Amino acid sequence: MNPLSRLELEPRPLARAALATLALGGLVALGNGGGRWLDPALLGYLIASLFACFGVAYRYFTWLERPATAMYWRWTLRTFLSVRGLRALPRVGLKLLDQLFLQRFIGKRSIKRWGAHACLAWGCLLAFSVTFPLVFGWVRFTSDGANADRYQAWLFGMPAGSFPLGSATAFIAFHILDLAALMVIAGCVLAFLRRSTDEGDAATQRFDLDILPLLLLIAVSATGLLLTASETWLQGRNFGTLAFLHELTVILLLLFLPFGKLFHIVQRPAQAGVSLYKAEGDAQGLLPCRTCATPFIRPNHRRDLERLWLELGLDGARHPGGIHHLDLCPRCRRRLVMGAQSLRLHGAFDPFAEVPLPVEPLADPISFRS
Amino acid sequence: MAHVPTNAAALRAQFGPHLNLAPPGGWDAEPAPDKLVSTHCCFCGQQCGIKLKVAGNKVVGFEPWEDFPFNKGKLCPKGVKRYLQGSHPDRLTQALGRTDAGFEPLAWDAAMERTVAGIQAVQATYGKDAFAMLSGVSLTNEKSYLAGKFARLALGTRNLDYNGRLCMVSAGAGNKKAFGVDRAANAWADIELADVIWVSGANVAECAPITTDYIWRARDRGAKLIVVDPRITPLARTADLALPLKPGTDAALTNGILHLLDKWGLVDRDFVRDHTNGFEAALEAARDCTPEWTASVTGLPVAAIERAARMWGEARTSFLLHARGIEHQSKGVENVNSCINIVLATGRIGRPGCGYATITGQGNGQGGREHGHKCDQLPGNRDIENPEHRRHICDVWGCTDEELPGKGLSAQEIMEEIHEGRIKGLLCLCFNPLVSLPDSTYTREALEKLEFFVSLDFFLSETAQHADVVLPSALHEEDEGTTTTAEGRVVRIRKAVDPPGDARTDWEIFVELARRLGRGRFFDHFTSPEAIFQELRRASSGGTADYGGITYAKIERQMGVFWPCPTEDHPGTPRLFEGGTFFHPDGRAKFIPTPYRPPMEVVDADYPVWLTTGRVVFHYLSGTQTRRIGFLVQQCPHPYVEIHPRMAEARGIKDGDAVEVTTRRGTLVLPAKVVATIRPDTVFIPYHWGGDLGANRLTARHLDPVSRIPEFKVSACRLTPTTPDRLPPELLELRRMAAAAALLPERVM
Amino acid sequence: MVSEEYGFFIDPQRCIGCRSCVAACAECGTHRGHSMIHLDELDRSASTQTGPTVCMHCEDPVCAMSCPADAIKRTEDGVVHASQKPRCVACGNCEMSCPFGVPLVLPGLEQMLKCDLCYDRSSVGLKPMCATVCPSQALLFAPRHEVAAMRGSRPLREFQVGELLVRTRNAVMVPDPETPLHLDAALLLDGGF
Repeated sequence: MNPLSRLELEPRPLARAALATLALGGLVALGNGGGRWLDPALLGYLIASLFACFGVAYRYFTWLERPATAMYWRWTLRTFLSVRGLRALPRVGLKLLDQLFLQRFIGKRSIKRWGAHACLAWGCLLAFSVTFPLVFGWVRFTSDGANADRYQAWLFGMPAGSFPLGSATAFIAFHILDLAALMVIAGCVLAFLRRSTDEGDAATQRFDLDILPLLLLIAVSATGLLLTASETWLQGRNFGTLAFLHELTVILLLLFLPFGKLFHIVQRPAQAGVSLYKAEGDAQGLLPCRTCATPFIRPNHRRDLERLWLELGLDGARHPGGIHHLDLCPRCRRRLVMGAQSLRLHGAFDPFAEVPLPVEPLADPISFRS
Repeated sequence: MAHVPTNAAALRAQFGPHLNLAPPGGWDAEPAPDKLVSTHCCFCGQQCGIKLKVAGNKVVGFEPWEDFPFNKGKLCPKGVKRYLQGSHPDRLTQALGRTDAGFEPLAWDAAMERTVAGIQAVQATYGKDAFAMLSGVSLTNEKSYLAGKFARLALGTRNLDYNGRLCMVSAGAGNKKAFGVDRAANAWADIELADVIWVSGANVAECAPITTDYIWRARDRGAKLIVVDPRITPLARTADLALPLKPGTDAALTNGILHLLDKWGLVDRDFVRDHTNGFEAALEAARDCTPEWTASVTGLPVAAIERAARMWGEARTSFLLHARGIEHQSKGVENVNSCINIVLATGRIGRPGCGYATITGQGNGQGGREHGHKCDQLPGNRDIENPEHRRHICDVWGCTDEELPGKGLSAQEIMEEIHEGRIKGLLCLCFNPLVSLPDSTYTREALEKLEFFVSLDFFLSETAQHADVVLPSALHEEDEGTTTTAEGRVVRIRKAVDPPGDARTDWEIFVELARRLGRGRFFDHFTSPEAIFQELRRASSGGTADYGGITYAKIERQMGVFWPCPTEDHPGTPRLFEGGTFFHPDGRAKFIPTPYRPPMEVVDADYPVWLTTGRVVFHYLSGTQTRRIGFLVQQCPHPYVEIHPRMAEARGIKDGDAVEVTTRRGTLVLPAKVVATIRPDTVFIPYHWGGDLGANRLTARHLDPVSRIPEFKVSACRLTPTTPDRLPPELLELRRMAAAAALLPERVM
Repeated sequence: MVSEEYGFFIDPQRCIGCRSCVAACAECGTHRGHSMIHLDELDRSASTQTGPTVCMHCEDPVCAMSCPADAIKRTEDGVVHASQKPRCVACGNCEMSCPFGVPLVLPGLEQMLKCDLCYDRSSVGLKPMCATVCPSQALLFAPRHEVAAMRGSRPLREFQVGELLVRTRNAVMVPDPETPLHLDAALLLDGGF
């Protein structure tokens, strides 16, 4: 049997992912002068990046095909392009900044989790922002032809400043990845420490989902640091082996991107849409529950969920009198279960079924002394 | 004089109540627990097993103790959150002396010296008995025993009583009269085997939550449930027969049942003949209690009364449970005996699935009432006026009969003597009379007249705020010992952590005070709780509550030992009265005639509404502990008044409105809770708060003539709707605190 | 993994409204201060009826179907887990879609939380916190084959909302489990209790 057919690849996302990969390829070629400025030593990385791009794009587009995701995508886009949406943009932008960069919501879950995640997230983002331009050949450094003690930086083939060999700028430029690696390792160690004591994580974590990505990140960072160590202190001993190992781990990491936990790096910015969507709904005011009259659902949410339920084949969830189950607030849905059970008990446990609460005229209370 | 320092805000800022919302270090502290300590919950007489998680000398959480046979891991919310009473910002860690401005910290020695000087000054001027002691039965057996010995031999006063006086004394007196012993007749396991369960005046779901499952396990087998209560409590809601009678008419109902049992030939004549005395007299007292008469008194339909008699009379096995609802009355003992009468009449006691029990309310309500903690009692449930009993205790204690004082006054009477100016000094521990005694305005006046008042407390309770000296004492989890559960099962309380700062266990404080009072020779050998327990064993030996054969090791091995347990090879006695043998000298049980009489206060034109009080599941007694635990306060921050919609409508009151509740003692303004689960002629207020929120501002000092229990459960009141601005500031403050806790950005619960 | 043999048997009529489950839920290692169980009054003005709601763990979870982030997963043991932290975007689709009103999106946390059977406990053979402490055992966690012997009523795992039939891992106890439990809004509108 053809293993590809067992993957059950969806044609539409497949085409889109291919297109995205082609587009990236085009951009890469455009940015590195058709390969002229490409560092041949980084070719393996480039190919892996393109594969990763394909994988990530395929997963992303498949994800967008899910009815629930499509619903959000559609309506967020529409809101985004509306006047009100545009007006809400600065506020949503600020919120996004908080959620994607400061990540304070993770701090509310647990400070330790926030610490670990911040090291990991900022370390990874820093590393990505350096390595991809290098791999793509968009950025490169050469020795300054005129002055052997100076380095020349190039961006998209254009000179972007030069600096002396021993300068602070040079140190930063050549060790920024080491810094990123240290941050990532620190983040991984913190994450492992947290995982070792948290009973909840201990129970739910899985090797492939939670442990493997951390191990990969450590492997990439450690081999990267060893390269620097070999160069700085060991006169380049074992550099070749280390370089191969580093490349191997990075390629593994890149290929892993679409499958595992790290996919959330690409997925998470979608939260911007949610914020926008919620802001839109809040502006309209909440709709009340049809049984208890408590306002509980955003009008756009109510409207879109009904369509979603239709698509999911859940549209039959309607109560007599035309009340959609979505029109009941969560508390009333919970009350329904106990109410329904109570009904099933045929009133057998209703004390007043046979013993009505005694009635006596309150104006003329019975006194035992009288 | 013992006035409260005037600056209430400063007192509150310093001593709380503040809310403890999260374990030490917060929810993310993730401390690796050093140990799990298997002990018991401190918050009611069921004494559920619980394991406390301890890290770095702090209790940081709990684990259910699923192996403990009584509750098998089950806990009510008080139990779940009990660990939050430790590491609490309000905790007293230094001795305090009262000044005009507030309280100042005292060095331990200075505090002890001031205490001894205060006691000696009062006793030198007014006599030994002018210094009284009030104690409580949330204390372990060891401390209860020691409290009795301390009062009699160190203080030399006869005036020692305890807050069990507000709890189980009616049941105790009724049981002694009928059975010659005061203990639940059965272990709870027999509840599961009963075919009919009769619950009178007990809000089982809220006050003894774990017992609910015992009742349901019987019902899963098909058992029928009868609940007698003016309110449709959560358990009554599901009952096969709910009998929402008028407050204070319980004996009328049970007399009516006895009448019908006899009329319908449902009395076990053989049992009555062979194992009881006094049946005819009891029946005579119920002669006129026809269903029609019973209905007119109780406000229940005739058909319901007849159905109850039929269900009870025809049962094969049965269990009768009652609690404070019938006991907190000026005829509490009679109510208890009228219940026992319908148990004895059917002969269903002392066999599997056949039983009877009062549901003891306080932590050590059972054990604490057995070992000389009461004004008329000596260890082993002995009588302080019985020469033979006195001789035994004098032998154990090594004192002369002259050194052993006689019978003293009960708790409420002590407070009245203080008010009259005849008692001048008070030592109080484990008791918050300002919240828990009736007519709290009167109690406050009394406390203000004391010349010297020393209080042992871990939080500064409303009562302790009146004290001249406050000695910081230890929490339940800071000491070893034993308690005796509602079932009569003696269990081990384990120490989890050390008391903080200067705080010490009550027994250490007693021993040191006794030494300083020059009575060390009676107390010097108490070097540990176990040493006290060894003496308790000897002292109780031969009494009805015989602990002679109980050891700490045996309790741990057997997961509790039921007394009586006279010898070390005796396994203990889970079920009393087997074979119809009772504890009276002739081995028979006694029917006690209980002619019906009305409550001391009844409704009239001025006060036309019945008022009853009780507990909620989220709080324990006077609330000193539970009103400081965030989760519990969030669920029930302040008292309210439950009113039936019909009554509310008649008075123009809507749910949440401010209502003025007035009795002959005073007035409270509380929010209305309009619910159809209470009789339309009755209102209910939970009693866990003090000051302007205290239900006991309204209750009367009417006592049962035998048990001296106050009539908390029946008063007459009137209701007037009022404006929200009349709600007490304390109530609004509590509401604000609860709301603020709910809004905490971090963790909601 | 949680043994397929074990499940929740929920009996609201036994519930005494003590909120022990709510208190205990926050105490387990997976939850740490967040309670994920609901304890509601049916209508306090009329009755003392209360009821606990834990996740019913649907066979075909509507929450997961409605999740745009693909963050809600059902493991092979039939347990529907709380949203995966990295994925959940706190949109609230699950909260509004759950037939039983279970999931909670906590403000500020940007994540949906819900009952996960105390996975840290149940996956190692312990009972979930709520069912361990529940004083009346309205929340019973027990082996399926033992429930019949333990209880007077029978477990029911099918719920009918209009034409929608929801099958669940957890059960509600009823006297007659032959037909699904009809969750009919008319019940709340009539106020017939």
